Amino acid sequence: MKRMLISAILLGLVVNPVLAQDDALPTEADYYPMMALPIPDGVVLEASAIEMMPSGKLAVASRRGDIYLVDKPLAETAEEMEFGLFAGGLHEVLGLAYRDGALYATQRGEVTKIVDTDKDDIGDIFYSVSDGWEIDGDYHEYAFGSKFDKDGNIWVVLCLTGSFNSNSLYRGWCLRITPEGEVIPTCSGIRSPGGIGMNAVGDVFYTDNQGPWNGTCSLKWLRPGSFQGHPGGNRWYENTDAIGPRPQDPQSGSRIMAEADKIPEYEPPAILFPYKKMGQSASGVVTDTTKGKFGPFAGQMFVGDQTFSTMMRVALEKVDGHYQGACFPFRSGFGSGSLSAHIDPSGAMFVGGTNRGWGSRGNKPYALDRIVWSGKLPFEVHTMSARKDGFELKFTQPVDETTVTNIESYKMSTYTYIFQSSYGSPEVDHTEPTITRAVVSDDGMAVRLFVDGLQRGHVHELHMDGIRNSDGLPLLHAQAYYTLNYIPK
Amino acid sequence: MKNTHQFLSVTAFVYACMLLTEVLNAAPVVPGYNRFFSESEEASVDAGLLLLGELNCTSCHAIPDELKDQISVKAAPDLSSIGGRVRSGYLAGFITSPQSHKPGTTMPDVMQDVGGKSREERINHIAHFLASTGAVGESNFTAETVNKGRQLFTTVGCMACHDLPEEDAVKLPTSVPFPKDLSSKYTVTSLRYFLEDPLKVRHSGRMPNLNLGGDQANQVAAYLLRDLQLPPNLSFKYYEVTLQNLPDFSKMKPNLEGEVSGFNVEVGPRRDNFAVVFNGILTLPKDGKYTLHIGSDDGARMLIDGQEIMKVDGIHPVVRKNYQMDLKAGDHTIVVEYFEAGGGQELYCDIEGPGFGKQDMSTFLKVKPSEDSNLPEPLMVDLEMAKRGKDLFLSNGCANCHKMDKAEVDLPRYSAQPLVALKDNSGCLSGGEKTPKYNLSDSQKRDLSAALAFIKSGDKLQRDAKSQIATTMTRFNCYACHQRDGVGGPEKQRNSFFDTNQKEMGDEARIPPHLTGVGDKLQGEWMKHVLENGAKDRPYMFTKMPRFSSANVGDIHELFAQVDEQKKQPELENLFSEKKMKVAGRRLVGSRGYSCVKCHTFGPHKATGVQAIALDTMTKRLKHDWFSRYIVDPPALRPGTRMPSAWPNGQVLLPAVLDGSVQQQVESIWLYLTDGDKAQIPQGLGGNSMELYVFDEAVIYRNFIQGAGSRAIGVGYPEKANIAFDANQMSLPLLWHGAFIDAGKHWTGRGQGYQVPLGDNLLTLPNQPAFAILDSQETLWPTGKPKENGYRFGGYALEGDKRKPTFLYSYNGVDIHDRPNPEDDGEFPAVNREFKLTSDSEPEHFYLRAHVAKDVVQRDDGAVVVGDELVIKVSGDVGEPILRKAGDQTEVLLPVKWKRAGGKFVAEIIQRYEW
Repeated sequence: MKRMLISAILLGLVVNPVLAQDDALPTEADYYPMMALPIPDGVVLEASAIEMMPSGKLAVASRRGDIYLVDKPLAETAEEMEFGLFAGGLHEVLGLAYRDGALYATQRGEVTKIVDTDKDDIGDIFYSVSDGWEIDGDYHEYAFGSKFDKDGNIWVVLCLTGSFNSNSLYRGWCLRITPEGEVIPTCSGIRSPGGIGMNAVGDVFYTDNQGPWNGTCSLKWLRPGSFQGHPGGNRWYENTDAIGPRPQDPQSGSRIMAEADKIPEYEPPAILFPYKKMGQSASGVVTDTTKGKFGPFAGQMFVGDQTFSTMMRVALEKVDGHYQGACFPFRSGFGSGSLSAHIDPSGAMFVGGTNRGWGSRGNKPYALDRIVWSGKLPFEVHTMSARKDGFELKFTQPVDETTVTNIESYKMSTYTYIFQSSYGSPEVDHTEPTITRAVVSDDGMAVRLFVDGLQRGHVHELHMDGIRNSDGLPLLHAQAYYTLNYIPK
Repeated sequence: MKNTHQFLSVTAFVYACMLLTEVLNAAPVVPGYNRFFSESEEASVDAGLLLLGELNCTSCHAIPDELKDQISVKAAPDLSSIGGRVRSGYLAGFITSPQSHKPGTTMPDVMQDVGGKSREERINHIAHFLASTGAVGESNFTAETVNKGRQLFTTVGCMACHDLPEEDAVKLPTSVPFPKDLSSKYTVTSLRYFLEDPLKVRHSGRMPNLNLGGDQANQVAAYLLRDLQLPPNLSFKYYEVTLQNLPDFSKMKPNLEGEVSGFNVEVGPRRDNFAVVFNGILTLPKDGKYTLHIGSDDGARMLIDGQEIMKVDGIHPVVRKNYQMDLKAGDHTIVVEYFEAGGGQELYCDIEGPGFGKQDMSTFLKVKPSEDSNLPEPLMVDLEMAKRGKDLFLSNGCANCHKMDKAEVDLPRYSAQPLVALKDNSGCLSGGEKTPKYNLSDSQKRDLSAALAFIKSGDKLQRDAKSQIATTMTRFNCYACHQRDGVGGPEKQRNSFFDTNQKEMGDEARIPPHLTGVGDKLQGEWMKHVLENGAKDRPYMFTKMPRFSSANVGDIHELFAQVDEQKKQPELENLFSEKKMKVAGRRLVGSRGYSCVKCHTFGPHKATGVQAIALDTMTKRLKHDWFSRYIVDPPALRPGTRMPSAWPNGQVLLPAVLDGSVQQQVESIWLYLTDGDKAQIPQGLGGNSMELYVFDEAVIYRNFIQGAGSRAIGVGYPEKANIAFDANQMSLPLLWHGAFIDAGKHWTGRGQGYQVPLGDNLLTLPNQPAFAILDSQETLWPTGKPKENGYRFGGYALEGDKRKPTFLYSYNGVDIHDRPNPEDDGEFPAVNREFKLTSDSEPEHFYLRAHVAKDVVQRDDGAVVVGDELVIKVSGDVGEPILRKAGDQTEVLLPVKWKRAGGKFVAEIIQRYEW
């Protein structure tokens, strides 16, 4: 009894000051405050796609097939905003894009051009632009649509029938829909997308989810002509020669890069989001094109996670002609399961959520949240880039030289996932490389890590708990996960 | 037990003598007799007649012809394939002393007239004869199977006639006995075959068939034989280890090694985080193609003769694989490696091959000799002995009671004196030295004597239909579950074994229904169906109605009708059309009426509250007259029921429906339900109703709609008519009245599957485009995908103050505007489908197909009519209709007449649907 008392006192002495210090640390909300948009009573807005209209109204689609227009979505207070119904009765809209006086919606069955002929903010004509794929009642047969690319195309990624098969035309493929409604088969190998978006130079990416041939969730580059890894939909090569002959099927139980070396069409995932560490179901993809209005991450991509109700941050680079890079936690605490996202040039990010059918940490059944940059600069790793003998980290603020050059401030491990036909994968092939040196740059904004034992094809998980900035603050998010498919020469 | 078969009968005899003291009090059990007659003070002719049948007296003692109909003989078990059903080592002992092996059996000791060696010899020969009819297969089971079996045994109805076969369970005099040691008689496989269809062996239906489908018979068999210790046929190594994949076992040290029977993974203490490697010899009967099966949770692999043939590695629920290979007759080594991480632990290894279907591989595993087995040594059949045994089978009277294919020969059989010639209190009744020994109780002797006296008196038996029913219900022990006219029903001590998963429904959820007045209630055909096939119509009741076969219960449903039927309902006046009646009936059944669907299921659809007996089969089961009387006052015909009256004390809660007439409302429900599973489901079924209401403007619902495809566009109109357009087919396949659609299926969960329309009068139309170019009168109407025939879907425009959609599509250069437009008129409005066609050049051979169906008729006014369900009228720019055959159907084609307007060719057509 006496002994326990002493321990309790010791705990009190030791733990409390640390807690007190932690309490004082800045949080995500200090840099990116969040506001829930006032969805009116009686409106079930399982926000599944978002687009800004030229009128300044925000178009928000729902899984129930409605499209609402939110007036004054950038207003300071929720009271100023108003919701109006623009269209109804569509089939699970998972893409909205505006062009030349019309709003385009990607529904399960088609890309639809909606025209408001009398300009009363209610859609009147619903033109079918393309229905060049098939569906048959399976819940998994979703269709996610992009915004317009520079040629005026909408990219549509089509989920398989269930997890394994493709029972309807082009399930498991990415199609480009031209302004004339022509269908261009563009990529194969897709399993279950959660979102689609473009990076700053217009290359198109989508998220795929853990399951067969996907050991964990990922961000994948839709390089035209590529095969994305799941052979379940490859039967449709028989219907088109748009992207050449059917590639060789990957071997189940292998590793991603072993198969990428064998199968030239196979584009390995640009980012693997480690399962249960970063999230469990990757969703919407947006790029910060605000040139600084959204904070220090101009040009970087943000990816939602439905289960964790988060937005993650992704910094990509190109090595050997392929995209790869690191992901970082960015913002948690969205109201429901993050699904859709949109960034306005003014610097506001809108995130739509739903947890119907798949649970989420955010406990509202549906939500539409807005985050903006508060103007305060968070201390974050801005980019993590691969070098032939290690990594370079760039920071958003000058760092404290002592902590950043001390190799004890870091902890690195690597692993990958089994590339297999059965569902998901545990982390496998763990290694612990050695960080031999950490050299800070002259401007104090970057550090070069020299690493013994880089592993091609592995996620390199880096924890930087020991690093401080020049004000003595730790990183807002002290972990990064780099998907090292290719090691620069 | 290592003794050889020569000593067996001696052992059995000694064993029998040891048990003799217990035998003395066990009179043959006839449940109905024991329940209703054995305690009676007075002799009963009826009871005696019952015993004459149940004890099979008349198989040896002829009965006067005029009484034959009154005695239903309980045939002894069919022994045709007893060798495949009963362990051969059990037979001699049982014949030597039936009562000591199965106290209470109705099988007499028939071999007692000559004692000593010759008796023993005769029995031994007969045993060899019986054993020559086949061999039992052995299979193993898991604790899980035994548990499931016990659950079944205590709930599905076994306990209505049997005691719980456990040490400390209550023993009732009305319980049909089991053999003392079931596992010395049966194997799990053989008992399973018996339980799957007891009527095959016991033809007379006293042990009815409980329809133990799937693995249920196996589970019950495993429970009954749970003490069975099978000789091991595999050696095992058991490892306590945490794995995610199969390891290299050669580098690991087992925590436990031993021998086991069958691929039982529960050999060590752990149920999670362990691994087992099994090793055995597979002995195959002949050369040929074999399919080996493996199924496991979690990982496993199988090696035959050192070669890996299948692997289901990793952590997963049961995953199955199979592998086909040619194998030679003889021995093959088999190794199965298995591991379990978390959750369930299961391993299945099965085999199918030349001449036999999929079965547990254990059957073919070489048995390892063991000292522990408690089973009788199998007989090595001596064909010479078997041949003599067959003669003895006939001459000793076995064949009088037992059917036996191998003994269907014209040889003299045993016969005894006819009943009328028997002396009082002698023979079987006296327990004399030379007669079969039944071990009859005093009351049984008394009642048999009374029956004999009656038979000898030559009096006529006077039995009315009512008492015939009572006799039949006693004979088949129907009273064990059902009460009728205050007699029978579950005995107090068995009552708690009748159970339900819906306790809130009270006793009517767990106790089988009483049969008072059942001939008034059930349709004869249905009752016959239930008796012949069994039933499980009450989803909440665990006890099943078993099948008795028509050979046994015959036309008893006619007797029930004769005794019970009452016709009381007056003929009802036809005030409303059948269509109106059915729409009203559907409304009353649904959640906006009397909410029958709150408690009653409908086809595959669950009710929202308790799950009471299905509505869609009601008119098949019930008599119309009874239904009409019952539904207005349920407790009057079914005391204690929870079913409320929709018209409490004759009060009408929905006076607007059918002029508030109780009789018309009742009749409308009956009429609606007569459509059975073809009726449109009532509203309010399923847990997630989200009805879409239509007010001033049309409501669009694009989704998966049953009958309108994966790109359906449902439209609900303010006029209370609805349509579904199929954007794959460019067709209008569905029209209906009333409520629009329930979005609950798609707006809850993940949104898969096809939704049926919600309203009434669902009309299904041809699911092809309305227009086609036909080069000649012989050209068939195009089938297949319209998109491949030149059609292209263009969307729709919402127009007018009600924002009704105009569908836009094109076909070979012709733009088609297709606007379904319901009329604002009446309860069941017509729909006008307004077409506007535009083309740059004049299309040739362009036809509208107004309809295609089997019974299409053209009326004098030009309208096209299908029965009295549908009238189609076409007006506008079309020529005369052409009716032509299309297979067994008739097509109605109208050539489109083009007009010039503004440099284009146009046509305007209205197609009107009244239904």
